[in-house]
Amino acid sequence: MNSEQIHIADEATLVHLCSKNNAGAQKELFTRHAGAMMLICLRYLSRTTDAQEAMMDGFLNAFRGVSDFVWNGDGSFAAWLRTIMVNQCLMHLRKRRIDFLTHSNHHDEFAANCEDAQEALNMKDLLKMIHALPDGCRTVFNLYVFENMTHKEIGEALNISESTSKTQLHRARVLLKEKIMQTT
Amino acid sequence: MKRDTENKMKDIAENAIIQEVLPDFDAEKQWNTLRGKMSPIRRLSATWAYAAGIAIIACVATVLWLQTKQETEPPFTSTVQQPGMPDTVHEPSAALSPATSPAGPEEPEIKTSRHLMATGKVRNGTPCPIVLCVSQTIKCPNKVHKDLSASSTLEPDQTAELKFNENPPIAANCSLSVKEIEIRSLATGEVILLTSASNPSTVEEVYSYLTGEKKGAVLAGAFDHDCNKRKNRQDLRLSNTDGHLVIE
Repeated sequence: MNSEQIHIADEATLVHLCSKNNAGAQKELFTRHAGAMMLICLRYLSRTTDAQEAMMDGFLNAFRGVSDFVWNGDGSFAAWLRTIMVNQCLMHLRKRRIDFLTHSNHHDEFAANCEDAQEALNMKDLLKMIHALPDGCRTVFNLYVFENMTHKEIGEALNISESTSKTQLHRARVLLKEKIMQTT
Repeated sequence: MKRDTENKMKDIAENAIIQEVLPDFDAEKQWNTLRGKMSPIRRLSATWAYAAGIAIIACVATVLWLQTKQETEPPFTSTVQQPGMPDTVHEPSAALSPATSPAGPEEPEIKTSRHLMATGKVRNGTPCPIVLCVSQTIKCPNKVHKDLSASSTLEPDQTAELKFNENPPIAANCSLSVKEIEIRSLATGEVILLTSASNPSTVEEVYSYLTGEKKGAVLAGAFDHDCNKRKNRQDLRLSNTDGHLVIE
């Protein structure tokens, strides 16, 4: 049997084996979570190759630090992995120096109702719209909406002020509303 | 944009599968890429292990070769001289030392050293097992230096033959000198290394007590810990007052 083939349903056992550098457990955990983690990275990094690189680095860090992870019930590993991936993406973005440009709020005038438009949204469209946002807006929007972070936490994570975070979120919302309307 | 829209976006993102966005996404393929990123560390350590293995084999082979070479070199074979025997000039046989045969008159004459020990025995008077290692150098005018070293392991209160090259046959124009004396405590691993610059006693001073040239006791140094690794300074002296060499 291939040493990398492992058939254990219990994630706690897999994580334990993974902390012992078991290649089979690493592969199984990777296979289970790679798709979801790739989607997270794609939300932050618009280029697929960048997202892929961040995901790989995230998994590498996770496997290296898995011995420090404390199992806290189902879903705890995925949540821990998700945090690693988000941090990895932020690191990636920091290298590129995220631009938090402040623009005029002319988009605010575009106050159309997009309730109906959102019904037709799928993940591909959503990513397309998020990717169209400037780096700064996209990052703040992701952290605020998908990671449930407060403006204070975002400010600390991105080394920006709370007000900059609020401005970026507002701008992201306006731009997204515009995009949603355009797609329908 | 309303909160509902954002919640809807969240739902979409959380329930989505990667194939919706990247139909070609293959976790197996991605795993192989990741394994490729992980394996350089393993490959590197395997390479280092391989290199270290070769280096160890090479070292062992060199040591064995040097030992074999040393054994076949008659001029440095030590002879045991009994106390009280007069200093003698050896005329080594041609079989042992072809260098001194009439065919090579320009070669230096082989002669014993002048020092003789009062006793060849040493007693470990300390409560810990110790290793006494004496390193000597034979220096010749042709700049050929040869290092000799011998170790004696002594259990507490054990008396054993002190191993060092007291009077190896050396060429007349060569000189034998002591280089270092190392006294190691086996219980703690602490080492007293005596050199020409060491304090409170130099290696030459201690050596003169070892050979019996000087009589009395000399402070060689101190261990900072006792046999149970507790902090407790233990002075170490070499004494030949009673005609026997004692480390205490």
